Amino acid sequence: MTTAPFPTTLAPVKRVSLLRRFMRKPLGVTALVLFLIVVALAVFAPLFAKFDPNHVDFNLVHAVPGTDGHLLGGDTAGRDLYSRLLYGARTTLWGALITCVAGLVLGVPAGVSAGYFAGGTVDKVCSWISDALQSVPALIVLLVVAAGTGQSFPIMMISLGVFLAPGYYRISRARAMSVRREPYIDAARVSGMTNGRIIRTHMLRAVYAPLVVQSALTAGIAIGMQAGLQFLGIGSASTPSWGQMMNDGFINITAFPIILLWPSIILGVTIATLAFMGSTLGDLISVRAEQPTRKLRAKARQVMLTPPAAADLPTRQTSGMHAHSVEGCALRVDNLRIGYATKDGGVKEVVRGVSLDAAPGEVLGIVGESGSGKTQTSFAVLDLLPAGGTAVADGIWIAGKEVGHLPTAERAALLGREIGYVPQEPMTNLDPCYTIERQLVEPLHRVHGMSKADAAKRAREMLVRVGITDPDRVLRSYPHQISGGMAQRVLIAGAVSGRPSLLIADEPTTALDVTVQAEVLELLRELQQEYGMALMIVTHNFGVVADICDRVVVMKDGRIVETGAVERIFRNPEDPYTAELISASLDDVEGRHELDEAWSAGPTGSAGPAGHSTAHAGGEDGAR
Amino acid sequence: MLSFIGKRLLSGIFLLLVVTSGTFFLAHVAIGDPTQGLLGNSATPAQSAALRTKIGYDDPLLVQFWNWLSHAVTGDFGKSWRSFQPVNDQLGRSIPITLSIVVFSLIISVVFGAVIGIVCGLRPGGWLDRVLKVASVVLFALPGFWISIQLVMLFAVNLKWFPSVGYVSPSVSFVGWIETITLPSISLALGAIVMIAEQLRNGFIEVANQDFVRTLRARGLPRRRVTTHVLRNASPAALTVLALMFVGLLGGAVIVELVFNMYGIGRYTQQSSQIGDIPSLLGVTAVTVAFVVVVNFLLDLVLGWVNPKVRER
Amino acid sequence: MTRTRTTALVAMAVAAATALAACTSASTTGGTGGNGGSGGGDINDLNAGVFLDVTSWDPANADIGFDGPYLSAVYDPLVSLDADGKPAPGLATSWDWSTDRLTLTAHLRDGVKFDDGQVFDAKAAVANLKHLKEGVRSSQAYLNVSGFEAKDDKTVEIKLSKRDDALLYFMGLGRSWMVSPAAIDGNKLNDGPVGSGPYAYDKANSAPQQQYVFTKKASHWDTATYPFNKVTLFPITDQTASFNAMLSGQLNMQFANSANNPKAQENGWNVASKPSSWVGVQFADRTGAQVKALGEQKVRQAISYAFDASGILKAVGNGAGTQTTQLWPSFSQVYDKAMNDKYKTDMAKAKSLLAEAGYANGFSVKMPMSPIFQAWQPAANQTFGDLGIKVEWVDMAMPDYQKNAPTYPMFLAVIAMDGDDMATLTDQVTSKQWYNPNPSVDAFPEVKALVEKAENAEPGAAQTAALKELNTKLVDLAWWNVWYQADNTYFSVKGIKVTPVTGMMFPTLKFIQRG
Repeated sequence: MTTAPFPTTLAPVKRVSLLRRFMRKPLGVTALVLFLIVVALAVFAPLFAKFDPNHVDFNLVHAVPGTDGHLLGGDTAGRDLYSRLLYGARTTLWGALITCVAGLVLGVPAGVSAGYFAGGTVDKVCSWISDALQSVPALIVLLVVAAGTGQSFPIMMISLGVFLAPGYYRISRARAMSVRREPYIDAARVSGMTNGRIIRTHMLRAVYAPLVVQSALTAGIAIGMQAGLQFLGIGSASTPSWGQMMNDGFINITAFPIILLWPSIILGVTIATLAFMGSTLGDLISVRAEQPTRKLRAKARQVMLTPPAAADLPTRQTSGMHAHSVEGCALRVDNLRIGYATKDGGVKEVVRGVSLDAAPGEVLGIVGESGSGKTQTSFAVLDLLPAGGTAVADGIWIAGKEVGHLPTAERAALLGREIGYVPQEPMTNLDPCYTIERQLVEPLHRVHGMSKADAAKRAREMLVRVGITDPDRVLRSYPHQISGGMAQRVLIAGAVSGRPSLLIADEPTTALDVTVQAEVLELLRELQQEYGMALMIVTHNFGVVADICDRVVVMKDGRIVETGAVERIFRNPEDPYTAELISASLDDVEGRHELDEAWSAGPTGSAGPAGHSTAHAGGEDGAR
Repeated sequence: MLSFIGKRLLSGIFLLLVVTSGTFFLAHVAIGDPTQGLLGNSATPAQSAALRTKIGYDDPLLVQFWNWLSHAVTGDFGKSWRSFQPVNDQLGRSIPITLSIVVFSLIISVVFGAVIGIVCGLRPGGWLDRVLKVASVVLFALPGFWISIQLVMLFAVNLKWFPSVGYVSPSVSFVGWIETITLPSISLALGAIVMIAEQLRNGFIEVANQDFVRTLRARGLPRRRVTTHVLRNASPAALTVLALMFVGLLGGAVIVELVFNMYGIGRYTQQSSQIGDIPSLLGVTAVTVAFVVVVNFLLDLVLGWVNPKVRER
Repeated sequence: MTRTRTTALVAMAVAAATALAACTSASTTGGTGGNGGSGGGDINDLNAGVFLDVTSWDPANADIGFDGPYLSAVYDPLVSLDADGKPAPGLATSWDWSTDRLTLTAHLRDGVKFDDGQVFDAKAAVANLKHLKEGVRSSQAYLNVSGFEAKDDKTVEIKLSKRDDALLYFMGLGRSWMVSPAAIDGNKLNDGPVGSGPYAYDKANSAPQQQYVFTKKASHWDTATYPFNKVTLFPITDQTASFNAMLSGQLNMQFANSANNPKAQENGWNVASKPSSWVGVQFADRTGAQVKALGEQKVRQAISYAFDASGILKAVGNGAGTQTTQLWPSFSQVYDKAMNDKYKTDMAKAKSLLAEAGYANGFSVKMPMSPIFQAWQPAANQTFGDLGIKVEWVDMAMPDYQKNAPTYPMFLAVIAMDGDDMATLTDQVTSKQWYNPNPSVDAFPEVKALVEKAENAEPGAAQTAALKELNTKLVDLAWWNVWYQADNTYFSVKGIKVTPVTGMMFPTLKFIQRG
């Protein structure tokens, strides 16, 4: 086990709270306590062990547990097993410590430097060495080392550390690469701090938590390897160690299996505590929130479905209003609520009673700041809420039909046919592994039952329709080979290729260059009119609303504060919040900052550093 | 694409050179005069001297290395200092053994690891996912040789389903081959299954939460088609683990070969390092690393095929 | 004169290290434990677990230790041994010594051909003997031989430069395998055996290092001695793996770990064992050149008194052996049971002897240690400690151990024994060996006199008497500190009977019979 599971994505680490948060995890605490007990037993072995671990008493050879006060019995040489277990912990843990230190000393400085100067010579050389080390079967080289060094224990453990250093190297590098882009590093650089100092102070601090995780795993590997080497006959028997004891047990496995039992238990438990400590800590520093269990989700759904208590009514009443009759609607949402199960068994409601509607041929804008629930609302209409989310509504109508209570499969059948979806971020919404053609043809072929040839023809037509001048090249291209604006056009083509009656566009222009934005909006408008679709456009920007919308819904904190025709709202906003939003939109021509952020959070995931081995792809994940 | 292949090949060849020269000099420093280890203790100084001359041990180190290297590049690893048989012959016997168990265990671990990983990825938090979590810790905590021996005890000694030692070449008996490599392969595969499954599960969940998956679903693609997309995107990480695993399995084979008394390249390495048979040691190291280089190279090609971006690096 | 004892030593040490006590007191010694020969049909295939791989198909490069079963399948010896270790006819049907015992005339078997069609005759025998005398490993059996001569087609004369009463024993032990002279000339033995033995090597079905398959030849001059139609030899070094293979039925005979004796009996297997090596402390520096104290007889005696030999035999040696102070095997006529109590464990006496010698506070010494001796290390360390001798153990791997151990003043010994009394004298006392780096006979005039007396005595009772005298002297001098003679143990299923031979780590095929 040279690659161990550690979190692929790391959240910013708050040092103070980490230990406290760790202490709240029963599994982690149990593991920590057990591990500390083992360490204490090792350190204070002379206090706990009643007998000299090397004292030979021939009457104790293979003695059963309990003989003459020998708790665990005797080994093949007539020594007290309990005492040897305790003293053995010293050797074994000491060896693990040596390995970890060797790995840290070699891997971390190299990794942090490589990450800080990613793409530079240091990075290339270090990464090559790291790759090389991982390409060589460690055990086989250790055999050569053992033959040559008279089986010196520290040298063996240091050598093992060398082979495990790539683990440290990769995380440090990945972590350093992500931290490098943080503003405070820029600030430090601008303020004249030397690179060496930045690495020492800021970078090392940033990598310490994942290193603790890695060390727990490395220590576990080291303990296991030690036993494995002993099994191959490499190592000293004069000093007690768990590996030596296990080997003794193996030789006598048929005749005296119990001798193997004790060291196996303590070795297994110790490595397991390390693994549990590592994984608990790993979960804590991982961004990827573990999803609430099925039970919690079911419970959350139950809570959501419970009719609101009378006292809650004012806040649980629906917000917003309908402008059209049910029959004439392309989309109608009645009292939609969306909640997420939390890990402590509660529910976090992000949309709290929203009602809105849109007629065919109408453009409805949903405006609000991030966190207002506007995007969640659109997901709920699509029935594509992220895992853990539950939507409850009095009714959802698509093209005049109530679909809110349909089973998932039937809801899914609406997608691509009745409803089209244009996402916010073009670059992450195309599958990087397939050509554009494949991605456009597949739904037409699979969903609409067109032949592949027809679908291909249609896809090309659609590209032409959305204003792509060289459709053949684009069809052949992979997503990373085309520009963001082009990608958004492709996505729009994909969304409307099924001729939906409702098109939902979630911030369709936010991630695009200002020059492209207008073109895309124009395109949406054209298509909407051409196909007579209802268009629900989600945006934070009143500029967009002014450009394209007929009616607008303003959302705040999961509720609708105002609904109305665009002209009326601009002229005479009823809610102060609406007024605030309008004026903010006019000041801030296009949140440049937000744009930057969107780009940097974008497609870097698959774009590793240039010129770097692809064998790293897995480990690189940490760079995201 | 071509320059990408060229770069990877060059890097692999350089790695081979580094590892073999490292082994050569390490072995020379570590083992010293090998004649006693080779001849036993009854050899007279004259006999030792004769052997030293015969094997060219008295030549300067760099000359010895050059002699070895100039033959090695033609695929000739020289003759064992112990048996004076061509190293290639022994490699020809040992490689099929180790490759059999490594490849077989890779197949087992890929099949089971993929199925388990996907199921867990589709239903994180389900019972299989929880079993996987526990299994990963248990298999991490128990050394490989411990598991191997328990398997032998159960399936070979008690149930007598499989032989407990030995290797039968498929050219002699295909059934015998399967019988002899099953237990060793399973011992090796257990840890690998869990690792592949975990990697695939995590990768799967990560990809499944990416934006394009929602967009695909919003286009109305059926679940199975969407899963295909997710898998393809999650596979690079799993494939990378596979390559690392190949290295790990080669190392683990040393122990498994001992338990099952197979003379694969692990035992060959161990023995040649113990008696100081440097040509054998170099040959076996070179071939082992060459395998890894080839596997990594193939992996790069597959990754390039899976993920078009890689090709353009 | 040494046969290479390297592997023998390794093997023994491992075997003993894997041994366990606590079972019954050594169950069956020197015979079979099963009820012999009842039930079932005759076993046609022998599947034997040998501890080590064959060292070389060239008898000149082969080891005595575990090569016996392999080489005896494909080669015939000039001289063989019987179960008691006495020379027996092989390709030489008879032989006689000249009166000065400096010429050995051997009469050769007629009508034997090698597999490549070459005829076995005096010329072939001489070519073989010359090859063996020059061999890296075999040469030491022929150190006192000055030349070979083919007198006629069927007669070979071996000329000695010095009387050597152990020559025939060593030849029989595994130093006179006859191979095709054409194979010697062509240096073909590395590719596989070319001999005249009872079995043909089935190269196609063999997998070197793992299993060697031999099929019985249709005609062989001694075909009746070899009952099995097919012999498969498995080198299995790992004792647990070997026993598992026996349990799972893959093997029907194995070099065994005596710790498993109770299991063997549970399974109704035959258990055979015989003394094979002595365990104790070798005083390499008995003249006191490196550590003055070891030059003192009283110090060496003190060490002998200090060790609880029977305790170690029972605990570490699993009781599989004989507690003794001597290293002539317990079945030898030189062996004197009465002397086994000479150094009965007595720490007080040991300490007073040490004090008398002027080492009341003990002394310090470095001793080499290798994984295969680790089983005895705890007991040794403790006993030396109790006695006041501070030991600093120097860990080393096995090849290094053989290289370096002789440079230490004393070390733990697990050394192969010989079934022949004169061979014991040369191997253990007079000749320089890695495990006996300083024979130091010259430094002890009384010993030297007794050695010469034995060497010059008429073979038979007179020689035995002289050796007995020498044995007594050596024990009194605490020449070495023997704790016990350890047995080698072999398990075989019902229907197969093994007769171990002291001197061979694994008996040649003629000692594995149906029964």
